Amino acid sequence: MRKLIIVLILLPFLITPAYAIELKAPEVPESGADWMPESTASFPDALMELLHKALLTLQPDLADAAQISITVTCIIMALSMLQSFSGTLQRIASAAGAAAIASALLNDTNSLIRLGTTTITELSDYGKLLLPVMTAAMASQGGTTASTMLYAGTAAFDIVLSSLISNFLVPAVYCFLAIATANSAFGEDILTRLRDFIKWLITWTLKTLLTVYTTYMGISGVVSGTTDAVALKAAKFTISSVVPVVGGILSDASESVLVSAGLVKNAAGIYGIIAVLAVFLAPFLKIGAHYAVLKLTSALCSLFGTKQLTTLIEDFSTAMGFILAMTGTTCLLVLISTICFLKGVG
Amino acid sequence: MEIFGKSAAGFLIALILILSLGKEERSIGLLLTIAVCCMAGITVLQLMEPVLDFLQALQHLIHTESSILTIVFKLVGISTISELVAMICSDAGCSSLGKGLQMLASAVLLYLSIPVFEMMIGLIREIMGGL
Repeated sequence: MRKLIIVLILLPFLITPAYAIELKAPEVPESGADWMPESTASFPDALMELLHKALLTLQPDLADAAQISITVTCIIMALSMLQSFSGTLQRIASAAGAAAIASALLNDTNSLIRLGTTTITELSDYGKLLLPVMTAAMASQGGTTASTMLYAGTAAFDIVLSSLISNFLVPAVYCFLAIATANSAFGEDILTRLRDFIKWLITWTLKTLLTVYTTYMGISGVVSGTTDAVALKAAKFTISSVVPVVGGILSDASESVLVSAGLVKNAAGIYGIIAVLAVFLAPFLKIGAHYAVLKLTSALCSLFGTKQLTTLIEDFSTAMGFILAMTGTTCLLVLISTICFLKGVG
Repeated sequence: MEIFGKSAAGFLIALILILSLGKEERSIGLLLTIAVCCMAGITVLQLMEPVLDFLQALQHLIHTESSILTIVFKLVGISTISELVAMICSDAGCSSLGKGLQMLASAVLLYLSIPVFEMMIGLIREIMGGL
């Protein structure tokens, strides 16, 4: 009896506090905070608000791009007068023209490349915070296998993509620009081939990585989702058949818990998607505006300018296209994985 | 268009006159060529005035990088003048003079292009430093 009393006295000391994990999407990074809609309850409304804010701030970027476009157009228009000339003079003037166009465009292109890489890092970092939350939410809904596979795949691809972009693709874009400028100045065939090779390499790397990632997501989603659905069904059947009398009620209650977990997951996922878009949209539109204006300038200059100089503008716009593609790929990676998590079990 | 038609007619008349002068009065023919070229230069300047005004208006619009544009305009001017003079020289049978002038113009073009190349190399160094 004495032992029993002692045990009863000591038992309350063994109680440790336990809390439910708060499954909440991480706060949006500072760069996207201004763009974040007031409410993320309705996905279409939030998306529209985000687009509206982003489009409103596009005007200064378009003005910057237009200034650079005018500078380049002036240079090409002036140099177009030398097209009928032959010999050394024309070659020297063309080389100087290529250097002038490169000088006018390099500063802007460099700042846009830096903006792109910063956005990529921010998206990757936000994904590293968001995806564990989505994994936990999906696991609590019964998708343990699917969440593990999705998280492992996304994390691996994110690491590969981030390091590829910072260590290989961005230096390759700078290399592409340097070769394109030299090609425009000297017009050597070997430089044209080298430039085309770098262009192909960057495009191929990005396309392959995204294809492999989407294929992995498709296969893992189907396989693991089905496995989890079967496991959940078996668990519910076991509860309702093994536990007498209240088995059916317990099984229904577990269904309610799963639905609640699904709601929490959806709320976190939608907030996460909006946050990713808030970080991504403004830089993407800024780079996109410069890309579009350069494409337009290239088309306009091809009417009166030499092929060498027009190709140089085209190459600079291609470099911006690469940055757009890299930023877009990183954003897609986070978005696709979040949507896969949202898809749920089965 | 009217000015161009008149200029083309002037060129044809000058050609007929030069051909009719014969080999004995070659110096007169050369002077006539120079005179026609000068007239053509004046016509070009007249025609180019609106173009140059437009380019200047564009230069005012952009505020920045005007030094680059000034250099490019100088390059175009020097190239045009030296090409024209070199052609007259070669017509006069003094092609070595024309070649010499073109060499001089090439050196001037290179000299004038140095700030542009320096600007580009500076930007490249800045980018390489940031990488």
